[in-house]
Amino acid sequence: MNAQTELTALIRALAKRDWEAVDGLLEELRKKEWAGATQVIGAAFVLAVHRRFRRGQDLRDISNFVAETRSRYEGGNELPALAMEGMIRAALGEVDLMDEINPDNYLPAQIVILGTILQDENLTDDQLDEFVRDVEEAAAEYM
Amino acid sequence: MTGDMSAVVAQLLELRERLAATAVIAMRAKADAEHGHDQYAEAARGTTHPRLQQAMADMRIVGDKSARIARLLNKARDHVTAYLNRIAPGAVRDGGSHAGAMPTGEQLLADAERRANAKASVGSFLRRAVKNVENIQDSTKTATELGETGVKILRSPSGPKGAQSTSTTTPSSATTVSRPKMDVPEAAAQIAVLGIMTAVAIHKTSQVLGRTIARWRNR
Repeated sequence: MNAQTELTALIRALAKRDWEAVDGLLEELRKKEWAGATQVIGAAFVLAVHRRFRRGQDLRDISNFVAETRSRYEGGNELPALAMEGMIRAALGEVDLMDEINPDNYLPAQIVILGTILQDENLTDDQLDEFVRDVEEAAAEYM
Repeated sequence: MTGDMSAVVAQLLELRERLAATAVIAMRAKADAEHGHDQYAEAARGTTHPRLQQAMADMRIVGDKSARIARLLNKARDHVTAYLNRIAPGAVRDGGSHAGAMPTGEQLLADAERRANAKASVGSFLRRAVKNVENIQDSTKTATELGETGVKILRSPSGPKGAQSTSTTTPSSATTVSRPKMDVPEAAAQIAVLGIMTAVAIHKTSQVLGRTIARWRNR
């Protein structure tokens, strides 16, 4: 049983900083062991990265964003900067960089980057609905 | 502005919108063609059958031509805009300086292109991520632990700066535009329909323009 519904609800809650909803969803996700997170969070991550960056983006923009993101959170330094940068670049097309990153870093780094980008964009409800629809559609092909 | 002139301006404004909508659909067709190309490439791995190779080559051409159509439609829209600005200054309300202004053709196209690139990137990224996660041998952490680590970091901003969620980097300037979902055949059909509608609009506009110009000459 995959947790697509809970994962997309989590993306909404993170974007809106609705921590009460996040707590409830984490309970549900524990029961379902985050099944499908690689696909759903991964798809959301790629789509969010493309909202923030362009293909061929100056690498300094990416490293500045990563440095700023890591400094923004108390536990930000737990995430390796190179892994975060590599994952953003992989989302922009340099997919071979994924092989150089420990897969244990995929999910935490993707959640932090995804949440940061969506919170910064301060999406309207309609925009968030549209984003989640795109995520569901993209992830569904790989579930 | 006379009634005739108002009618011409209204027709041209409508034509601009049709051109923009058609350009966006063409750009989505490009995205779908690229996505289709990737899927053919995946399916064709390990084979050199000429039919599959031809299918991939065709999808590549569809993608390139769709992008070219989108750019030409956008260029046509720019010409219509320039003409409108000349005959009726102020009739076109483009750009971000007006509250509620329509996105420009460039913004629409940039948004469609960004979506196309994002959609094309998701597949290869997820395939690689899934493969690497499945192949991992020495992980002692579960997906639950990894996911919760990410959420825990995200909800603990470091001090006032983090709490305000400020950023030093410039967010993307692309305008996000709502659009309906569609697949390749649907997009192709819509291009055809919109192409016909655009041609009819152009024909009607030129007729109205011709009549208006004739009346002006006769005065």
